[in-house]
Amino acid sequence: MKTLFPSKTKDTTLIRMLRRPKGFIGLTLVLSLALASLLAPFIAPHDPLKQNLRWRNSPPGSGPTPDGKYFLLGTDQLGRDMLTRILYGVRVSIVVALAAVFISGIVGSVLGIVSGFLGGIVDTVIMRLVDIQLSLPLFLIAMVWIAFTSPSLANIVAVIAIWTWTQYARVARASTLSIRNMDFVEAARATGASALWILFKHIRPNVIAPVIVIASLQFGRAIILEATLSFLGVGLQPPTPALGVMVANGRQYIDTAWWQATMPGVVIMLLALGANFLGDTLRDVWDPRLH
Amino acid sequence: MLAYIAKRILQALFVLFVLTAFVFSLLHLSGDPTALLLPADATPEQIQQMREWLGLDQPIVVQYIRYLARLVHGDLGCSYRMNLPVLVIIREFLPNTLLLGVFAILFATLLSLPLGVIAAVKRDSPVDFAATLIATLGQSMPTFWLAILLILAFGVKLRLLPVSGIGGWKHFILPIISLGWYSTALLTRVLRSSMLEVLNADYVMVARSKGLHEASVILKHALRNASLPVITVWGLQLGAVLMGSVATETVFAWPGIGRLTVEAVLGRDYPVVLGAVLVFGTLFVLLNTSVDLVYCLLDPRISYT
Repeated sequence: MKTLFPSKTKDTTLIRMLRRPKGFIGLTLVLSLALASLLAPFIAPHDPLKQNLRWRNSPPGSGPTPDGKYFLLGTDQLGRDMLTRILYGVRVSIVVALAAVFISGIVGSVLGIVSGFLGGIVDTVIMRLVDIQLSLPLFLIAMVWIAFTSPSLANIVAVIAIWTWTQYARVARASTLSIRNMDFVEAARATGASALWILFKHIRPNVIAPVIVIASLQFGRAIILEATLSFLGVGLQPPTPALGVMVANGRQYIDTAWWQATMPGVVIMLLALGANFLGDTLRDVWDPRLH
Repeated sequence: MLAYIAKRILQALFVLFVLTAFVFSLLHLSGDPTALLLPADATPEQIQQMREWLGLDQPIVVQYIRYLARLVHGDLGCSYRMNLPVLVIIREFLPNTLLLGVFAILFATLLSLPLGVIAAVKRDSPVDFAATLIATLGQSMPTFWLAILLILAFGVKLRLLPVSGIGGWKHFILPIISLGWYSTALLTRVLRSSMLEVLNADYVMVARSKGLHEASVILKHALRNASLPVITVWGLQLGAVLMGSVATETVFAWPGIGRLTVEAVLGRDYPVVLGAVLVFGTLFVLLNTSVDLVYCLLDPRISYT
């Protein structure tokens, strides 16, 4: 990756990321979408659930309504404003993905660190668990699980978290293993440092970087997983403004109202793209060997 | 080696057992589907009768053992909604899924191979730009949305290709592209970076300085060495395509196992859900196991333990 300016080693990670086109685009995409969805109640032009049958299936730019508002991205089959619903939809996507990444990241890396640090039977059990999970058709299980329990937000977060913890475990275990027997850890042990102290002071800082890289890539994956489940009807349910549900609804009007299925998809893609760019850039910045 | 193969097969059977037991208990914990299957004005006696007829009045363990016993004889039960044996339904739908999957993998392989190699060899060229674009977009685009975009472009606007169901070869084009796209992206990306790494290696420089033809350097010396990580990712794509078929088949109304599963799940058709999970699970586990076994043959460094 080329950099625009020669980099100085004292620069912070943020500056080094922003200097790369990928990092700049990724950060801009994720932050602006997150900010827009956070401010949705203040900047959204309409009510996300308010139906307006007179304006149903209006193309982008329709308006003005009697109170002088326009539908910048058009309306859906019930006359709800697409832009407003997309802003709220991004909110739902981000909340689900963040929660899933947070839970799976913590659980996965703790298990991975424990596995690598303790070794022996604990290591065998945890890694066998990872192997078994990787040999299961998880998408199918997730579908059946959500459909036959309840399609609640918590359930979907849980399913995605259970689905994705394995990668953190593997990465955290590998980093722990590579550090565990280094001289400085050996030295700490010789001076009488406790296992907990070594874990916290020496292992943790070295595991965090790879885990954060994985987390930003998994954030993009979680966005797509949630959208796919919602699209298939086994995720969040209408009238929740979930992006996947919006695409599913719009699909039925594809030959008369193209904007209904395409617009929410663009946003899903931009979110995932931003997260992937962030992950790639972080990996480049933190691990010079991969250049 | 034989012991390793035997161990892997036992492991696969165990995974399938766990999978069916899990799905079975999940289905039955979620409640009784009898009332949903009868007209709204059915009397309680009729509902009870139906329940007994379906065997749903028995304890869950009894139901599961009965299910396994019938399974051994190739009997997967009858669909609640279609009044057909599940086996007949699956036999009808499975070939369509397999056909689509094989073509999608083929598409991804044939497209990513030249794209990845040329992108690495001619770095910063238009081909490299195209490869990077495909790799980047492919990984961020949900399959179901890409499918809808393709329908919009080639079906609704251009009216070039059929957008639903199965028929002639034209019906295959859009589903193959949308199912194969994600794998194309991933394979291109991995092949490109793997090739870039290898092209700087000493043995490639030696091959060049020997005066070998450039094509032979790239295809024989570089590509071969670059292919191991690609094969790993390729193996993973078999499973990914299987799972991707759920979304693709749903959008294109493709009569395959993926769409069948979604409809059975939404319609609470227990025997079909179980049958589909079993078939999907078997395929998935089978593919994973054989990919692992193939690695052992390809790379002697992997131990058989």
